[in-house]
Amino acid sequence: MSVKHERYSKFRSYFTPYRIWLVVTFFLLSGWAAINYSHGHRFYALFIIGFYLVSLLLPKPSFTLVLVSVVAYVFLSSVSFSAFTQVRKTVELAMENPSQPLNNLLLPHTGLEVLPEPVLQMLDMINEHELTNYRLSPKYNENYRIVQRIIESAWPLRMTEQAANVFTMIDETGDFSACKLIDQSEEVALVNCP
Amino acid sequence: MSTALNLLRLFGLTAGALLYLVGLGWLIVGPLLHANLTRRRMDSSLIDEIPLILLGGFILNFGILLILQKLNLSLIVSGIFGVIGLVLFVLYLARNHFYKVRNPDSVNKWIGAVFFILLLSGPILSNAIYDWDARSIWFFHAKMIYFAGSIGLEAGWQDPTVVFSQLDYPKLIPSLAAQIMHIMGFWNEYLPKLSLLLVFIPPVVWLVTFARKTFSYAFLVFLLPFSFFPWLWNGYMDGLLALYFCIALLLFDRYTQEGRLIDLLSSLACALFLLYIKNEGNLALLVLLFAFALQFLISKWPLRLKFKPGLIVNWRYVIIAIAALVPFVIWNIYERQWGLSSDLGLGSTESFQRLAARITDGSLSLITEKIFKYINASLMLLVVLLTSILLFKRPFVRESLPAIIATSLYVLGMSAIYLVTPHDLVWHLNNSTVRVMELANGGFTIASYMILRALEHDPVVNEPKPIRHI
Repeated sequence: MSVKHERYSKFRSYFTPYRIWLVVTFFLLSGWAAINYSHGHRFYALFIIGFYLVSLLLPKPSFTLVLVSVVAYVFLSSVSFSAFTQVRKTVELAMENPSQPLNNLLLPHTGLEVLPEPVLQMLDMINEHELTNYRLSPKYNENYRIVQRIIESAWPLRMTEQAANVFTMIDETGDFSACKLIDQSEEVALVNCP
Repeated sequence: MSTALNLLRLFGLTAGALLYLVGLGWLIVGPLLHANLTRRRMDSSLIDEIPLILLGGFILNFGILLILQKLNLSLIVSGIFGVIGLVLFVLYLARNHFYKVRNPDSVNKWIGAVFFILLLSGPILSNAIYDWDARSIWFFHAKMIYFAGSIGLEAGWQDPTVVFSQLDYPKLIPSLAAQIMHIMGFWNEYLPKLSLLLVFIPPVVWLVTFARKTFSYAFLVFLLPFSFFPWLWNGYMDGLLALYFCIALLLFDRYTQEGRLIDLLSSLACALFLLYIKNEGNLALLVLLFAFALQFLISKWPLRLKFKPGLIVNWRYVIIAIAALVPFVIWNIYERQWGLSSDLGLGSTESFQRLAARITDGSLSLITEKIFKYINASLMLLVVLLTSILLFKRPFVRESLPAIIATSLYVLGMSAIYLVTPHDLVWHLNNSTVRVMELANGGFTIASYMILRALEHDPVVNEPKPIRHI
């Protein structure tokens, strides 16, 4: 009876709740690492298992190890560094030529250069010919990039289905032989279809 | 010379906008904090009050525009209110804060906030509106309001060619951009982003109020605004949504630690402001309120109510909360009147049919995989820190619970939205998961920060006795 009791107490003293938790945690972390590994996040899988095993091997838990792990995570996973690069680039550009960003901010119609080339050509034609309406050819209408960009950049001029002025691709002008060619640029033709 | 003049113009515009918003906001926040517009009743510092006042200003400004609809008229009316509010605020400032402003701690925090804002104003203002949603949705709405001179139907909300533009989205930031351009009298693709900078100021000031000379705070400022790159300055609203969500969690945490009422009010104001940033803000507000309520119940458990709950309701707070919700309600009424419904069709019979179909057709694993891809990094850090708690034999950091619960619920809610989306699922996931999960990344980062802070300040962790753990 006493031998049995002694074995039981040895068992109990070895399998403390803390150690049981450590084992459970190990299995949970292994599962977590396996999920990461199978999804191609191999670094994270190795990182978490490595962190856990190193912590266990140390004579006592180390807060320094936690800090190092956090710093490693920040270095390897965070996009903050890209953000810093962007901030630095902006500051450098502003220092080199401070008038440029200020002019961009405080002059009308700046920033249109971000638009696709065909849209810029359409905008030029709208301004040059003082169009009061427009629509896009079927081919341009299929390209939602062009559709959305011209609608928002030409606003408040609205695109209407009944418009006589049609922007077409250069190779599409044959489909509009009944219409009058008003203007033509590298990629865009403007025709009038009464 | 022209550069100096332009700089002065930009500075004048920004300063004018801030003073106008402070004046307007004071008319709401003064009664909220002090039940008075000139006398101080609550013990709160100016650096805690200013961001809350700005939030009040944004909401009141938007509310007046929604009611009057015309940009001109609303700016005149708001301007009058703004001037009155500003005069009262200056009186309040002179009476109550004049000597405290020069407190070195307060000065350092203000300098930190200004430095932070200047640093981030570069990428916000120096890049033209380029990215897709910024051009097709947010600043296109601003342009529509600007050219119509009105937020009403004249703006063109019912034009059949603009249906791609998610016209039901909140209009607070587009309205602000339109007002700025209306004052300047022209449109370009840079200056409307000043509205983003203005809305970015309150969370930055709040972030600075948490300043400590600790590793955990360095971790927080390093990750919190900067890890939302590029969503904080490319004209999308996801970065701002995530930032306000995180600040709401941080302020609530400080309220639970220090019990200052201004932190609770500011936290709830941040949560409420989410409604005005983006549609996902509705979900974010709900999960935050749930997490706060749960934390409150846990901290007070077992509840012993010695009074009737009805008697503790402070009607001043209720009235101001309702007033702050009025613009949201008005916009929703307009939306219904003008037929600007959400393209998601949430709650419709079709949405439930799609939900049933997608649960069984493998879509769920596709959604899980995609979401996991984008939240994995922040989740991993949280797992590392939770494991550290166990290794140090420390109790679970209860302060991190609201952040973990709210963020997890948000992720679940977004998964449910993906399950019912009428769009092609792969297209929808590819186009939105990376940015809508910024909020989840922020939430998990806040939970990690709270655990790290607890470990850093834990005497057992910092002065470790020999702990034999195996």
